[in-house]
Amino acid sequence: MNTEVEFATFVRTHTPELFRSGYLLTRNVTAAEDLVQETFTRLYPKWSRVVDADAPLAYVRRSMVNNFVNSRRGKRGNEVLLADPPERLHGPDPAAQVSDQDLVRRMLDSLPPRPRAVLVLRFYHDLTDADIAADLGCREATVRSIVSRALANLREQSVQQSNQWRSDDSIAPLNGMTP
Amino acid sequence: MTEEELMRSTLRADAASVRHGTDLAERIITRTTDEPTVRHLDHARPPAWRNWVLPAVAAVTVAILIGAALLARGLFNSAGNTSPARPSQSSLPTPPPSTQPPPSTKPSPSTPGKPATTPAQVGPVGGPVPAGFHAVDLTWISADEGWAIGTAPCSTAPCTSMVRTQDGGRTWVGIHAPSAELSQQSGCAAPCIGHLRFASPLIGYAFGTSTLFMTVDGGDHWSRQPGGADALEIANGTVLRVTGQMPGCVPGCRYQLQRAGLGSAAWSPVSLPAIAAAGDGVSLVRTGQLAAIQVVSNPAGGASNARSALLTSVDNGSTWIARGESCPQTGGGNGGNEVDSSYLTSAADGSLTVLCTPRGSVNAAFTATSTDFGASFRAAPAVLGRAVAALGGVSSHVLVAVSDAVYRSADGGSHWQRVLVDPSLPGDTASRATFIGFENSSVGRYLSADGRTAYTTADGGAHWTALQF
Repeated sequence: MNTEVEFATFVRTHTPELFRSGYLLTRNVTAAEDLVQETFTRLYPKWSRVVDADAPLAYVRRSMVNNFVNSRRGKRGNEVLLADPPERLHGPDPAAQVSDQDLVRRMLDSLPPRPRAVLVLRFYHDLTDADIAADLGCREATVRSIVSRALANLREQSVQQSNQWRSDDSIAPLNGMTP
Repeated sequence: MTEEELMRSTLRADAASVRHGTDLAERIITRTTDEPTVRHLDHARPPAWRNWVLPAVAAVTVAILIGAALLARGLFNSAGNTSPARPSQSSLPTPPPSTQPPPSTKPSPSTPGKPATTPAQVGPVGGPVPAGFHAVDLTWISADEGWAIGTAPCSTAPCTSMVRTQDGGRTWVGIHAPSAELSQQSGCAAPCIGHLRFASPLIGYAFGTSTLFMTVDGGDHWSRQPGGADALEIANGTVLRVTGQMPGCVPGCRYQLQRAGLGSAAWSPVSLPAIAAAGDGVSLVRTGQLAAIQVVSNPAGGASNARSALLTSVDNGSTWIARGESCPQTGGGNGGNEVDSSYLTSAADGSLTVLCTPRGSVNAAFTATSTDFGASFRAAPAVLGRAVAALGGVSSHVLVAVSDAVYRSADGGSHWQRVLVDPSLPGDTASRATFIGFENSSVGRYLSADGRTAYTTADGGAHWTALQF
């Protein structure tokens, strides 16, 4: 099989999975598509190395994660200019009680690229701390620390949200109506 | 559920719910394997000796220059001791390098409250503007960045051309256009496109009634999407398109609304009130969260009950309310009391304005404006006195209409003043489509009737500057 056919077959087979990982990293459909495309564009000239790897998909994914982490260092990413900024709620809105999953999403949105990549590799791809450290070129202790802090942060946010809901449920007496 | 389980389930849910464009893999394959600069990256790598020889040469050069400067200073000082004293240049404030323009004290007019947009060096480099180019539609994403679609004489059809500016229209370059003919040309052979919208420097849409192309690389490549678009507008990170249910929608057909994320090929239907979604023509406008669709019936031949219907949304196009006919039905024109609503336009303040034309009396047209998202319209007391070819809204009070010239009203359509003479405007403007639109309450664009000049205004339509393609 020649390289182009091999490459095309691989792209068609694995793009959906890589796109999903890319989306979890970038939190944006367009940016995820760009990330996958950029990764393949970079790897294509040395495709024989990908094919020769023990696990080609893992090789491509590792390259994509590193592309993501490195390309977003020191810049704000591919920002899309909008005609108007999205509307933001002023103050707590009782109707907008966020779910626990929203807490996770909000936390991921707020994280810099490397910690976000660590969480995606750990909890979506189920990689070990050692594998994550090897992929990202950092120490295992760093990975453990990031995971630990993220979980603690999530726990804290969850408690705060529960307290917020409880305080919203208590109705203050109206002025002049105090018994 | 523990935090770990919550993290796992959230990531898996997000991954399972997200969808990429249907042709992402094909786009990647095409882009990667067809790009010679990518394919031969390994061979194009510079020789290793450049890694150290060039820096070494640069370092030696810098050392020589510094030595020469020190020597010259010593000579100058020794000479200065014998000359009359003169003010020391170094005691004066040093002006900044003159290569940069002075910082503007005004914010970018197109993005109030936001940092000014820097012309992005993304997308194709572009080539020369095709000779004889004339445009049929414009689209802008900032005060500086805009695109135009049109045509230029060529030997082999399709001759559709596209140009881009990154300096507010002062200079233009040609970029790739989809392989489709212009729908504005008579006898257009499918696929036909006639309109263009860009969301960012990379993501854009070229469309016609039964054709839709999308680019995600600034126009280097265009991919055909299923279906077409009678109208398509972008705001708040979403794309809305109105399309006929069937290809080549016949008069009286139903319109469908679809929505997609920017650059996504996954379109999802949005339900419209069925009673209002049939007609012979449709327009779509968006301002912030507000979106409005006007479906019009064909009044040709004095057809009675050729009503129009207005649909409005205040949640970015998710849910819609049918508002009925916008114009008051008290025209008293040649066709009775029926008044046709057309040329729906929205302004930065969220107001909606329509042109109201008593049936058979084009010279008795007047405007009607809504400041409550289409719930009610207030008709202007004055008629324009001439046929109108396009209408633009700066605000609920400031309106611009294109007729035999460009006219502006600063009092909600009560009085009109001619502000721009377009030499290419024909006497009969009703048959000539032109573009006029405002990006905010200051900046607007007008495309001349012959498509050769893009006029721009920075003061809400009071004054216009001609910019040639």
